[in-house]
Amino acid sequence: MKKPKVLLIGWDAADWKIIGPLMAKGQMPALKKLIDKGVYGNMSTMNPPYSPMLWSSVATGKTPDKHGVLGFIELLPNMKGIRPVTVTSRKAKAIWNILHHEGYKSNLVGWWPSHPAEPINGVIVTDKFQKVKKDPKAKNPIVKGTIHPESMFKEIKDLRLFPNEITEAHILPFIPKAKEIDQEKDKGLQSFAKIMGENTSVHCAATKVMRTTEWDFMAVYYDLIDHFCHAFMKFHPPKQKAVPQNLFEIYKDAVVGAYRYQDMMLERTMELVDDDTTIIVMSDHGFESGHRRILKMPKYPAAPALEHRQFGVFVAAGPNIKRNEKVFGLGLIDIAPTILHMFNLPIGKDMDGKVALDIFEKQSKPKYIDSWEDIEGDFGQHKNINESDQLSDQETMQQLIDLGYIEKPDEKIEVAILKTKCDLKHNLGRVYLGKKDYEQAKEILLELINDEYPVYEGNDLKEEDKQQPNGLKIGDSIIDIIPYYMDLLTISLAENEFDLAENYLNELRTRDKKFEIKTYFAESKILLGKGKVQKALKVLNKAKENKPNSEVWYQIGKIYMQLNRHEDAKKAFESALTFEIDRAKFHQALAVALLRLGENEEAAEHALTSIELVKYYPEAHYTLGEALEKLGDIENAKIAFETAARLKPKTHHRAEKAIENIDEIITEPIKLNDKNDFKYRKDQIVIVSGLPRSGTSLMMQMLNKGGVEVLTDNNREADISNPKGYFEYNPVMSIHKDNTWLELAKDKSVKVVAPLLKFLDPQYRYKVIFMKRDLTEIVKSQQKMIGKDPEALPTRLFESYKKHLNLADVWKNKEPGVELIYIDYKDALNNTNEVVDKVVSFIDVTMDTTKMINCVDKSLYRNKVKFDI
Amino acid sequence: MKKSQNYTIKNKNLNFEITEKGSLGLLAYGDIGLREWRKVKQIYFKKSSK
Repeated sequence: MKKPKVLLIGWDAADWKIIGPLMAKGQMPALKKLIDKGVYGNMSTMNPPYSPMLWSSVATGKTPDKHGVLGFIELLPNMKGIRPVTVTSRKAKAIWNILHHEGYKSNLVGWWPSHPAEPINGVIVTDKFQKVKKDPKAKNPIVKGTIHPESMFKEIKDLRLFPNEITEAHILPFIPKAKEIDQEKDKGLQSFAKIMGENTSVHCAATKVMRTTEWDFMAVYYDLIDHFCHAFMKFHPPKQKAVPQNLFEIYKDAVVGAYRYQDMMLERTMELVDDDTTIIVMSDHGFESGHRRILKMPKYPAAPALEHRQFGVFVAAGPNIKRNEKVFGLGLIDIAPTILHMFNLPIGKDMDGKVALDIFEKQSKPKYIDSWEDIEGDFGQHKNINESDQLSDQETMQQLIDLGYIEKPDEKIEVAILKTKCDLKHNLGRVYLGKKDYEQAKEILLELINDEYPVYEGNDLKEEDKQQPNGLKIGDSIIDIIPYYMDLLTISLAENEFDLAENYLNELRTRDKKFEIKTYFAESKILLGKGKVQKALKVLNKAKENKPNSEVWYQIGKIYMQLNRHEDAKKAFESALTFEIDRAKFHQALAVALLRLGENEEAAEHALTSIELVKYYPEAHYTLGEALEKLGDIENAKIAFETAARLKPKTHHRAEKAIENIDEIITEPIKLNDKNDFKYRKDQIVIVSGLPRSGTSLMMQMLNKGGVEVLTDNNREADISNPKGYFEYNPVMSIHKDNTWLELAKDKSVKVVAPLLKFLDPQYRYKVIFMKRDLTEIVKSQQKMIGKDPEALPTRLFESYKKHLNLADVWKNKEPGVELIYIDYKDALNNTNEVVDKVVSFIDVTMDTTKMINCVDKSLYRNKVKFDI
Repeated sequence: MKKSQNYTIKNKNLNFEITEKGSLGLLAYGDIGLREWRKVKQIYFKKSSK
């Protein structure tokens, strides 16, 4: 067995919404090539979506409360200062630590956070490598701890691309009108050069170690797309009203350029590995590129993360990876367990992620241990770090400030420390909130609001702060506790504590008038919780008139559902979808509304779309089950209910009951009822239907003898299975493509097997004679006809036939132009007179009943079921 | 106007024509591309400073 080799490439913020159209235009050929020979899907992010936390979850398979990386900055170990987050915040073992312990070689380039480099078996170029000073004249030494082992220093040190090296050849493909930029006022090109420089540095270091060292696992992290999106997404088409036309013209291609350059780098990377290497390309979250883009960022820490979308991308290709298949339900925390499984290593039971078994061609059972954290030995982790080597990192700090991820640290170091402490604690609270561990989240948030904080004094505030509307005042708390109240409000709503929620809402309004316009969801939820449905609707309608958006329409739809105004709810959910077509919860809500309106096929379609978007969505599977049950597809309905029950963390009582009901339906004989007005219909078409070998040819023959003209081409000749002929008409077989021939069938009879009934054109009137026969007899007869052992009965065929019988019965009830009677094959043979009477009165034309009766040859009744007594 | 100095590196099936201004393709090529471009720049600036 070959030694596994895995390359993990991180594209921060990459989003299918941009990639999809680019691939369709052939502008991301490398990724397309990877997808064509591998799997792809959505990558679900976590809350809060801050990149250092997320990439640490990718590396460890654990949530941030366990791995310890809680933000963009961290406190110094001596608690006397702050700095950009380093690897020392990570308390859990990463993939490369475990691989080190197991004797594998790993390379790591640019991972966030990875500085100072851990002493692993392999090469690490940390996230500090690419950070250089803005000033082109400033010295940029590579600090100690950036490259491991130090012997690689000479080979890598010159591979940083400096912003002042960027030329027009690099700029123009992204910004063709760069010459029009007034660089005194517009710093866009500076941002461009910095981002390009940093990412090219990472790429050069990566290609170097990839080419020149032996490795089993390699991970490279690029922030190119994320940083380009933060800088230029506001200019991406379609143009937003508030964006000036000239700036739109200048920067509109920048984001697309970043994706294309990222793909060019991927192409080179793919050239450097062989076919035995598994390549994974993934992002930690997506990025809003439509109407949810934010032009004016709210002023609170990490606000830019508001533009991060819930789903990033996942692509994998390699020797044991399925080909060109979409995979579902992946999360960031699944990456580490999946990679460990690729190396046939056990997964820690304390990891929050699971092995993404669905991606593998040949699946093997994952192995588990309690925890890698408990295993003693050399994991290539830091033992003693000389902290003085890494205290100062003004450039990184400045970049985080420029991106808006952190506020400019307070000049008073004690205030900066206090703010950082509170931010990290708040982030931990938000991690618990994301995990729905409300008790832990509340404990942290209540501590944060109840702590006493220093207030601003006269000298603390600058003039610009004082002059801002709603700006800071002397006596204001240094710590802004509004975000803590917002999270407490979210929790109280989730826990249906509506009085408490109202208190928090009032507290927020008292503290900041600005929040009033943004609290309509909370307000309506509280009103709903208190049974004031109409008032809740009024609040939302007002918000909708003020500024309609998808969420407000969705909430309005939910209220209409409560009021049983299903048609209004349907319209509201459809409106939500016009704003955002790819939200699973909107499709699911619309599916439920359609179900209540009896539009079952449409309901099934929207439930399926919802599942396509988010596979792990028990409610959508349940709704799909309901729709399929109503459509008569009992077997698939059962599968949908079972999936819903399996996915729900707690018992899904409704799904369990639905499964019981379905089991009863399956075990009980199918109840089939006639639909018959016993009246001749002008130009009626008599259809003889049923499952193959259920007696349809016999009925055709009876009709023929009785005087009803048969539409047949006699192409299929009589044989031993049907000595009196089949009475078939070839175009029936392709009725799903062309049903225009039905015009020829007016006042005639034609044979159409059950699965094709749904393709009959609703413009005609049909009289369907549906032949029933014991399913065992049918299957035996078919087995014999095709030369197989009639005693070996395929179970799947039984299930499939039952499904078709159900579907035909549902179809008959739904179609106004269809009347249908059931005729038992045995009755046709044994009680022929009664059957002929029933058929004649059904078709309601004059027929020769004697000839009909006489043409029945009982000797042809074979394959009877023999009952043992 | 000065004419760009051309320089060609060959790697497998790829031919890069390198000017002192470089290109995205060279940067995407990674460490080899960056170093080869810098060599061309050096030659170019040496010549143009003479």
